[in-house]
Amino acid sequence: MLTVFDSLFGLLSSPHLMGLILIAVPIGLFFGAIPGLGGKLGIVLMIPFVFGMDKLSGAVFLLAMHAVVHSGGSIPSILFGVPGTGPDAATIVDGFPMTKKGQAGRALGASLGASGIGGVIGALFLAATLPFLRPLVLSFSPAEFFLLAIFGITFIAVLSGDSLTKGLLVGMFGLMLATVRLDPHTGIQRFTFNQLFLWDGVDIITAVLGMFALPEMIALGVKGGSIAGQSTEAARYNLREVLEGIIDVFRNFGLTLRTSIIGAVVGVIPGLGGDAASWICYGHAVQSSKTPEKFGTGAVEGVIAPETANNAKEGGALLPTLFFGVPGSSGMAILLGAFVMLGIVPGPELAMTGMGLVWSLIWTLTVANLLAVVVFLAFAPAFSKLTYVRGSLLIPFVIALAFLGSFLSHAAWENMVLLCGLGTLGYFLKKYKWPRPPFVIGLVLGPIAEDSLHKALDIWGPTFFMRPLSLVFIALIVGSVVFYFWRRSHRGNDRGLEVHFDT
Amino acid sequence: MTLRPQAVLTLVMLAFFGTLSAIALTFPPSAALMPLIIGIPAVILCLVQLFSDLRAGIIEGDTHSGGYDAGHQRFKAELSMFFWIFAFLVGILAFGFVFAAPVLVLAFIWLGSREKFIYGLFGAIGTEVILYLVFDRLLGLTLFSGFVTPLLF
Repeated sequence: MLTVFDSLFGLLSSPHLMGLILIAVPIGLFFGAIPGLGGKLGIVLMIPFVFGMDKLSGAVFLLAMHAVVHSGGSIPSILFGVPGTGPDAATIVDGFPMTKKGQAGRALGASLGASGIGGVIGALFLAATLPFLRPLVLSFSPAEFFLLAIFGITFIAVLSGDSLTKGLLVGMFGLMLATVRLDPHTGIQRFTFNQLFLWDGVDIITAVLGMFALPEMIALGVKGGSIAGQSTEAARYNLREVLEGIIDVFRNFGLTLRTSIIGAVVGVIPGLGGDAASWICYGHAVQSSKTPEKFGTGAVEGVIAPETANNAKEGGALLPTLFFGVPGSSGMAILLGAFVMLGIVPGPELAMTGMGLVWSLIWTLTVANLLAVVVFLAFAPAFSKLTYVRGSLLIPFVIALAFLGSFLSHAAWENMVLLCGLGTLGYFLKKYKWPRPPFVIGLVLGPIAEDSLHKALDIWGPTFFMRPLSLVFIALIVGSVVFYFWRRSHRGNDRGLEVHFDT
Repeated sequence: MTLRPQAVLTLVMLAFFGTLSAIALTFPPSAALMPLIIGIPAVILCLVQLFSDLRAGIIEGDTHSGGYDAGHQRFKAELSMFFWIFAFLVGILAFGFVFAAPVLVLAFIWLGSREKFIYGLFGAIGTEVILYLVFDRLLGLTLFSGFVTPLLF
């Protein structure tokens, strides 16, 4: 209990940490507000800035930025009908019609209030589950950690794309790249081809930048034009309307609370991600409403539900990320890479000796979401103009930062060459719809999985698969694959939610 | 008859896993265990995916709609972007971040994207400010100086 409030007091009383959060929040809102950029790119681009920071400072900065991305993403969704990030697409269904009815300010206010409360509830959800989760994590043996890595990749491969095979192959690509290093057991060079910069393994920052940052910039350059692709004038609104929207969140507090909790729970499940959370909660709002026919035409509940879920899921997603090393979302996958770079090792070690850091991160989520309300209120009109920024003005700057991040992590120029190679591959994976998040999971979990495998074999031999908890994980892996085939066979038969679209 | 580009990507993955698995066979058993546990199933999955790609139809060109002209335009745009990515690589390797990055930012905006020179100039100045003032001076990080620049200065 002491650790809980010590961490909160430590955060609030530290000008350095609060200053980092104050800087991170507008940056996160900025990346969320510009369609095509998104929080994932924001994290990878901010990585060079956290080099040299201690692990707490770096983690607080990156998490604060990531926590508020979807708050910013609602701005273009509501004002232009263009989602700032993927999970913000659900907000368009009722948010954009509200703008067309002259209620842009109310929609933005509802989004703002919902995001703030959703984020806080998500953080509290994480806090409430910790007493149950910690003993569970500590009870895992090396056998379970090996199978957890396999389950994490399989589950995310099932959920992150249309093809299980492609998802598995990309995850295995990450796992295979993770074997490129000096073998920890024999000391021999493994796939390093006498290159010194590979002796410690493929640099995770370079890999993440190559897989996500460069392909996005190449795609943006190929697409051309302005990011929003809109030529209409931004909708006008005033502060009174925004405040009315915030009050709407409290008028519908039951819905806000329910969708926050649903969002947090969905966030816990690795691979489901924000899109699932926002659409599930939107569907819940429609089904629980006394006037479902209003949805799709500008119902404020249709803005509140997905926005609470978007932010609440981040608290839930942090749980498997920190304690199992299995990222709860693709954004968390990149954040996990950054955490590893900072020296935060996910898993039992964190549960045993790092609870102070964990609580600090929980409070960071809470504080960042509350601060985002203030920043949003102050800068929302300016953010709306950012969507007109042409990609050609951002691309070279982002590319330069990507090269910088790649070099700084190990001061190895060879990483910049590797960046280009992985960036080329990453672009074609994106172009031909191979999912990329499993790659990061494979790369991050690979060393943990290999180490766990060797330990499990040393302790129990090949029969470690027969341990009860191991059998549970094997059942989960098989269940994931079965779920994939079941979903494929039912696709096209399910009409889904019937909503009148008026965009 | 030409392979779909998707099948080419699958072949690249197959070559990657096949090559590394073959190399892994030369390692001691302990070192070879994980690469083979990953590599052999991956080769099988690549073959499954390749079969799926080929069964989907061996057709010529890209799958994007819009016809030949749209595909050709897209190909040119992709080539252009890859040119700039590798220009950044060569420029930074040769002259380092502080000298090469601002010039390349200016060149991309002004020459590559045909924006106004003033936008490129602001971009270059902003890049230089961040690289030199923020990373080099303020954060004290050592930026790569290039292979050619030290020979000149």
